[in-house]
Amino acid sequence: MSALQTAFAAALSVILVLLTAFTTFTVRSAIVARDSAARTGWISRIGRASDRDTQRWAFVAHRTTGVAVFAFLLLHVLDVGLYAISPSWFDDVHTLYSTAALRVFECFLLYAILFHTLNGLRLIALDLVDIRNATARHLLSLCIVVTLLLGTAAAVVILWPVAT
Amino acid sequence: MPEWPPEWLETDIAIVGSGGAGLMCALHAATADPELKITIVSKGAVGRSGCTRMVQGGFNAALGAEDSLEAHFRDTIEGGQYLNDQELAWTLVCDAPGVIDELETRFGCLFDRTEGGAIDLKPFGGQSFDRTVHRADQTGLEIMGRLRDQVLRIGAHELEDWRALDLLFDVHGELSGLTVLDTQSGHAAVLLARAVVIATGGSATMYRIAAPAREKTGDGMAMCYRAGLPFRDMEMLQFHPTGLVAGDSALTGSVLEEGLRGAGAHLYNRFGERYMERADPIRLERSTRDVVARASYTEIVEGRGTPSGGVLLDISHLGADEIRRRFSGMAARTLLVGADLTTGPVEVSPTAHFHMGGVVIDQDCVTEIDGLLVAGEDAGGTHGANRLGGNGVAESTVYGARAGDTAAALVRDRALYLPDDRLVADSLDQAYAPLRRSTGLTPFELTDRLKHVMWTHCGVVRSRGGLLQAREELSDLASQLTRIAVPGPKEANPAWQQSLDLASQITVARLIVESALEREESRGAHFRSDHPERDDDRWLRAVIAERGPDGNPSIGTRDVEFTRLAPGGRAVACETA
Amino acid sequence: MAVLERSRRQTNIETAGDAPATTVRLTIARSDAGAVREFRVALTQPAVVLDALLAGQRLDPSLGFRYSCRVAMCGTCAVRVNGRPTLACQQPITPDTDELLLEPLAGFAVVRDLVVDTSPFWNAWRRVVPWFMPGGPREALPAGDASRAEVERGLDCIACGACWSACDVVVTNAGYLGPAALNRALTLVADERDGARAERLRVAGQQGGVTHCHSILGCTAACPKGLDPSASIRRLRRWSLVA
Repeated sequence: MSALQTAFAAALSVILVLLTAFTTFTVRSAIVARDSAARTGWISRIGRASDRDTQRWAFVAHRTTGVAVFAFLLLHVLDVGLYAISPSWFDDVHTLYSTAALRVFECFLLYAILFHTLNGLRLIALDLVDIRNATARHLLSLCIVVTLLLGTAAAVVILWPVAT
Repeated sequence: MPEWPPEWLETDIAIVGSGGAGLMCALHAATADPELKITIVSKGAVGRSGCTRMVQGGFNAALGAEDSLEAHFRDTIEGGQYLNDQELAWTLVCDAPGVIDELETRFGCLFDRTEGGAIDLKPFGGQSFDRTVHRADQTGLEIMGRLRDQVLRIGAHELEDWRALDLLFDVHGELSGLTVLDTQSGHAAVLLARAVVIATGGSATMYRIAAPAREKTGDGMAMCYRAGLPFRDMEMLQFHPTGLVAGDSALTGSVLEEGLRGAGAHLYNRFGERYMERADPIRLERSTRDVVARASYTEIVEGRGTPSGGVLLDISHLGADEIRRRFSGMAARTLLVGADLTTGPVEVSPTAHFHMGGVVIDQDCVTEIDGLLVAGEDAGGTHGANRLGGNGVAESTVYGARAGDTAAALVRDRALYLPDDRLVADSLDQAYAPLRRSTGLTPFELTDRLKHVMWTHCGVVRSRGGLLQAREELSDLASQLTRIAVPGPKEANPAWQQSLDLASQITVARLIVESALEREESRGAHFRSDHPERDDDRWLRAVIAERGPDGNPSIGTRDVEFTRLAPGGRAVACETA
Repeated sequence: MAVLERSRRQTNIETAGDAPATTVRLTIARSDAGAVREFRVALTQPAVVLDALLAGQRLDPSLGFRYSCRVAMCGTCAVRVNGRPTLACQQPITPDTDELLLEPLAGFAVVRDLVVDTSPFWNAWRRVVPWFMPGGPREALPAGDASRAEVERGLDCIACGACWSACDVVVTNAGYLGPAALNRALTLVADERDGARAERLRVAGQQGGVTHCHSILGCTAACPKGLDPSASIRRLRRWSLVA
């Protein structure tokens, strides 16, 4: 691996670590920080969540996917910006995108973008039209299903070259 | 355990209770003089305890075009079977329309209106005209919600979750304030006040099946009794005919609203007999509360009730959709206990509901003690022997407002008096005693016993034998009070608070039993099986009870003055105010 | 007889002697060190969570909890049952219930056991200027009026705090007004009899107001009175944008 590739991988790893920390913090605060009397573990509380909590988890997912997409976008602006300095540096870094690891990463990124977009549209709809709670929940289910279908279809395309 | 010396607080007006009467009092006092220091002492959440909030039906005011103050007054007196203090009843009737206007235009209550824009008036039992102002079937919630927020506006000092213990006097007997106890932290304080307003509500919770909120344990009445004030007609305790029967659940006793009978609900015993055909062949289920409650009670005690001690209320013939539309709250309430009003009968029983009797006051809420005012259900005389539906919230707000006006004027030239230290010490010692004892009885068994005794011997139907037995039982219970021991800390300890509630309940229960023994006739809510007839020759008299020299209730009677309307409907002086 | 038979079918009325007892294992969050947390209580049907608490209190008289009216009017018995905020007096315990976890409302400091200090809720409530002020353009709202309909949607809040407990925003953002206070604000902003609508709309629109809502709809799901505070907030958001 070239120095530049190592730098890119390192930056991506840092983003992933920070993202994991942020997600943990967000999930925890959704469970525990709001709960002054919590004595049971927060992990077990996630397990007890029922379908009535889906919109709470949608909020957490919306936040973390938003941060994830934003953080990757910053990195991506940098790696695309390399072209202005030197096209060969650009090519050097961008060969990484065709590796299996990054293809898997791209799949997750796509899921994140899809969910964030669709859920964002749902929230806008909620703001514009008077939607009942039950309808909002059904719309969320729809967002999740569409995210999974589209994401999985795209994942097959993305992963096809390395899988065969 | 009580910290000594306790914290000292100082105020111009101390209001005990935060229901309709207490909050109206605070608002009126603040309007009269915005500089006044007003302190609200509330055993529960301010504006969210007591019973005004639970009012479903509405508020009687003679607002209709055909209606008149005289008609409302006559209905109130006839409903009360001429036992009312007629000046109090007249004041109620005269002030009610003004208070409705104030609630709506100053405080923001959104009462139901017609499409033409007039206030919607609905029919209620025992009234010659439609005059009940309401907001759907949540009238009390709307009134109390708005009043509570207005109290935030005036910035009164709120002692929320504090209970009042005893009235305090200086060494010469001048009222100087009261001892109060923070039920959350367990700390006590002395609240010095130029004027004290008692507005804590009644004490019907002393019955096994009862409707009121748990705070209503007669604390205010018990304080006034210990301070030596006279009470009138304490035997007059109203039973609502349709309380929910829900087995051992705490929901037992909560009211299914009067409107159900008004809308044509039938009552059956376990054999499917419509027993109101016997009890009141003409008005049937639409008869007055006392008649229906007594008929149901008779079915139950004579073994014709359901196995769990109720009778059956059936309105399903109206059709499920119609019932859901008109009585959605009631339908939900029955669903919660596994019955369904919309499709079949539900079990109901008479439930202890409202205390007509109370402290003797005048139209300005003034009592015999200088500086001490009483308003709302704590006061007696307005409703006589039976209260009309819709006159209860009217009484709380009308007299609460009057108490506020009186108090604001009173404190202008009434000084603060330093209380007798001994009274403070005694009061606090007594309050903390249950916590200090390491072994003894819990308050629960004693409360159960009290509720059982009152329900069985001093309930819907009474007799001399039963009342004498109740007297014995109550004096035994009173002696057990000093044996109560409550475990746990002083902070937020409901069992400790219940032991203090119990002391108040027993005090008031003794007044009820002694007054009921005295009245040897049947009138309104008071029914004596050994004297089943109304006796106008001997008993157009108020039963007066007060603390005797030996500490026990001493009972006397006093003629009712027919200042405005004599029995037989003869108007004496019914001029419009 | 037929009436009773019908009633029996519906309500499972049993003779008092053989009323079916449901044994429920309660786990109650206690704040005193060493206090009993597990209770086994036998309840007859019908039963609500409040009955379980009262039964628990007989086993340990020092149990701290509160209630008042028993009919969903006072809002003081709100607790979390299996993690979900609700009114103890309105939450049925069905015969097949085996265990229940009872905890104080979230988002508040615990005073003792299930009793919480609701002052953050009331501080927020106060900030929206929740009292009616006369002086609006109209004197009365007749039946069927549009303004009346808007107001009535938000009335009958009992200030129990269940929505506060269910709101993920109030706890991470101490300045947020929360669902109940904003719902109260809506009932006044929508009321054409009120004279301070603009002022309240300004409070609702500024820092700590409607922009902080993330449309999680926890408040709406939790409200024991069936109100929709989330819809109230969205309405205020639209109005404050237009204003």
